[in-house]
Amino acid sequence: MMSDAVEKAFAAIPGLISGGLTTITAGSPIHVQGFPSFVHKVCSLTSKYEEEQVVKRELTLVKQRLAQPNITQAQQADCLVRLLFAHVLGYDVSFGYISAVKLAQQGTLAYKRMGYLACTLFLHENHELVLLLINTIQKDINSSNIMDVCMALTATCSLVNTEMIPAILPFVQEKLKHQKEIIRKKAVLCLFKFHRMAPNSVQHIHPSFKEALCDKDPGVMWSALHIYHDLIKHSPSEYQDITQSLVSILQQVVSRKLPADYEYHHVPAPWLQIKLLQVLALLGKDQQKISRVIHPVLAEVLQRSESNQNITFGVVYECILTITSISPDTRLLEYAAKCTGKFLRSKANNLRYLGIKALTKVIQVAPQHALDHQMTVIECLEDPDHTIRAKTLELLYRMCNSVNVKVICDKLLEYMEKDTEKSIKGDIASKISKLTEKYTTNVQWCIEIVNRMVLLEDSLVPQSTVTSLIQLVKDASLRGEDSVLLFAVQTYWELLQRKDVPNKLIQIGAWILGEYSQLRVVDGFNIQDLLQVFQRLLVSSSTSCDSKRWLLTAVTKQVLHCENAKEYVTQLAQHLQNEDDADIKQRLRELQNLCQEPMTTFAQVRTECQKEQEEYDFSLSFLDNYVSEALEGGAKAYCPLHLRNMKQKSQDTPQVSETSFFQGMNFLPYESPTASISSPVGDTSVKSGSSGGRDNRDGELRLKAVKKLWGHTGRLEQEDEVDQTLYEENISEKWMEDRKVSDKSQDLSQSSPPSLELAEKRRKQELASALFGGITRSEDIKNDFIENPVILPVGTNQTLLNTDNTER
Amino acid sequence: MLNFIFLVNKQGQVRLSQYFKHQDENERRDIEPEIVKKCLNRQENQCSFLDYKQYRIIYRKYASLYFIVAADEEDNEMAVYEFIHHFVETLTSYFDKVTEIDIMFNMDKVHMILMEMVLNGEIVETNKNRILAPLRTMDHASKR
Repeated sequence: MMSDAVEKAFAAIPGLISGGLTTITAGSPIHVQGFPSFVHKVCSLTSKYEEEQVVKRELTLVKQRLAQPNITQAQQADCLVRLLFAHVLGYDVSFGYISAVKLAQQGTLAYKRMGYLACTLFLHENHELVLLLINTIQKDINSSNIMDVCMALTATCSLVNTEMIPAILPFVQEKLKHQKEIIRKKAVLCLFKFHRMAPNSVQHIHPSFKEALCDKDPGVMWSALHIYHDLIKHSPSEYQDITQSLVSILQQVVSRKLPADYEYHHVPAPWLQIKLLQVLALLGKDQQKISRVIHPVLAEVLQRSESNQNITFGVVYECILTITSISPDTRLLEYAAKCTGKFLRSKANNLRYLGIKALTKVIQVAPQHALDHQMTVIECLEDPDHTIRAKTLELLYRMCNSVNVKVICDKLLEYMEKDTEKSIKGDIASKISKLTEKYTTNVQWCIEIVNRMVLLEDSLVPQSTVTSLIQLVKDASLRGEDSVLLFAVQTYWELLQRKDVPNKLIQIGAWILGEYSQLRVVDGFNIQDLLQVFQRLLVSSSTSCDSKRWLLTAVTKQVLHCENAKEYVTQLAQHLQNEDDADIKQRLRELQNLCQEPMTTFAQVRTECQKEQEEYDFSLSFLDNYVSEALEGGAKAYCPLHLRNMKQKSQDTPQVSETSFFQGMNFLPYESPTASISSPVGDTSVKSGSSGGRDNRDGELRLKAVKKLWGHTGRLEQEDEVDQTLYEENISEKWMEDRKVSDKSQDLSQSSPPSLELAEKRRKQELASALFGGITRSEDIKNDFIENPVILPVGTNQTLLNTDNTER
Repeated sequence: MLNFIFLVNKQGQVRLSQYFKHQDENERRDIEPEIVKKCLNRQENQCSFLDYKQYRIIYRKYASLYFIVAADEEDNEMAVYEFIHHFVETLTSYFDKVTEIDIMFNMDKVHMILMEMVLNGEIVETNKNRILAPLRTMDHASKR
């Protein structure tokens, strides 16, 4: 390879000399070695140390050369290229920045271009040397030479800062009306940059944006589209009037009305199509009227995207995203789901990746489509490619409902354990936290999941998880769910006795044990032991300041129940005397003061308070005399709230008498529901939690193909073999269909014995049923498109992929 | 939007880099090797997209050279993937069978082509004739 490099290097030199940009001047006072030989030298080295030596030597030479007064533009350009090369290798070339500025100012044509290029790559908008370029840029924008104008406008996009905008904006505005489309395009791009940096600076020239969008040149229009994308992201409702223009532009692009050189592999301007789709998605979001305008062109885009090329798939993918972002059209959604399926069944990993992402968006709008791809999703979950696995976890998270949340959380925790990337672990942790905050019916499960998560990765779990879990337990105690509290106390009592307790567990445990330990006192639970555990944790160096504060609060709550509280607190204060935190010192001081009171007195006070509470007569019978006297004196009798409201209503409609008002109303409570526990699978009247409520016809869920996993008593045992085989038949039928199309993509265990294969298949089917539980397939899809039905693309069964699932 | 692009060879040497959004030198020195290492460790049969910090990395291998682009999470990955290919096709069109050596020795021209195609992190031009027009005009002018 090296000899090829040498050959090519020397072969290239004459070409470079005639190119006029880099020259080797043999007759100059200091021998200028030139860029090509520099590159050649660096490439022939093998060690980093040697490279450093060579580069540093070269940079010294360049520095000397640049300092000379009689240097030509060609030599300057050559030096700058060498500096560029060294800069890419990671060396500091800041001494050369000023030469770049000078060459941009003084150079002509190719050398000026080199100067601008070097400035763009070396400098940035906040660099102090950028200000020196203002005059040059202004001069060049006004130049009669089109190349100079182009260079200046391109450099403006990279180098301008907010202070320079007012100085350059008028010159740029003039160029918007230039006859050459390249100049107009670059001027619009400058405005795009100005808008991004300081929207207020271009507030007054919004009409120019509109003009540019309607420009006959596609390049100018495309540049204006970028500005509109930014504007619409910020406030979509203000720009709905351009929807029709964008729809017609997209229609023209798709119908190949653009010149042929905009095509890429016979696809007309695909990146422009994608950008238009992105903008239309923003405009149509939550806007039914606008969406209806957009639907036809989406159908057309899908219809015309027939070729088996990556870029076509990219356009189709973007189209699916747009369909799922705007107000839905059922037929388009179905077609989008079909395309998603084709992506998922592909052999190419890139397409499967797109498929998973597309499915994530589709199920947020139409959850039933997840059922079609159960086994493919399971395959992706166990794919050796880490990126696909991560995206599938995201899909599972979006698919969550109250039925499958436990299985999905288990899967997420499994990956949290296995994965090594911190950012992904953190992402999973926040997902699980959100799920525990959303599905709060089973508090014990929430506690278990949070504990498992914190034991895995304490630092990545958000702090809000701690507070929300505590809130859950508090709510449970208000509802009088003693079993939950007992469970919580037992769990945290065991956890806090471990050797290394993560901080968040300390905090939650401290609060729960502080509040509810009394529940366990009846079991012979010792407060002394609890206080010892608290002390051990307070003294430990791995406990954070935050956790210590929680612990001290818990100690304060519990120490009053203890006999020798004073001694305990004194000992604690001794251990913690080296604490720097003011808050902790304050709390300790308060605790000590509290314990100064003789405990007998304090206990007495406490018991008296409790007695008083028991003595309170909440029926207020001591006021009976007063009430009867008042009634005799003519006062009105007390009327309860619900009767008061009814009376008010009856007063408003004076004709209705009280007795007729209540006629026909049933005041007897309904019977408690008696759902059958062991119902067969085919029973359609079973109620279970589901988030697909939108498609219910008569309040009952149709769960023909979904196995019932949860009943009143908890998870059902898988005893009924008849039911299982029926279920397996249903699932395997579906799976066989999918498998027929994507036979080659299912490359599992072909060489393993049949029994292993069967076991693997069964495990996956069980996993699929667990993960996809609660998602219903609606039979009667409502078509809410009555006025202007979308004309479905012809040949919807056309594959996006070849029969052997390759994309090319 | 696209944040940066770099071209790396199999030994991990960076041949070209362009940052569309300014990044501090030290940050560049930290993230470049990490991203390069991740891409070089990928297998042939894995997909060409991966996540790194707040970026979505899309990479593509051409002979000995890896083209690595960092985009945002909301970008269309396939569009960027194909953009890389289009960039390579444009280079081939200009240099006639482009190789790593051509890119190294004509670093300035490769930068200019890239600047015509991407500005402010957005793909702004994909018409090959329009991209190469300024360069060809300049070449023609300097020959005279």
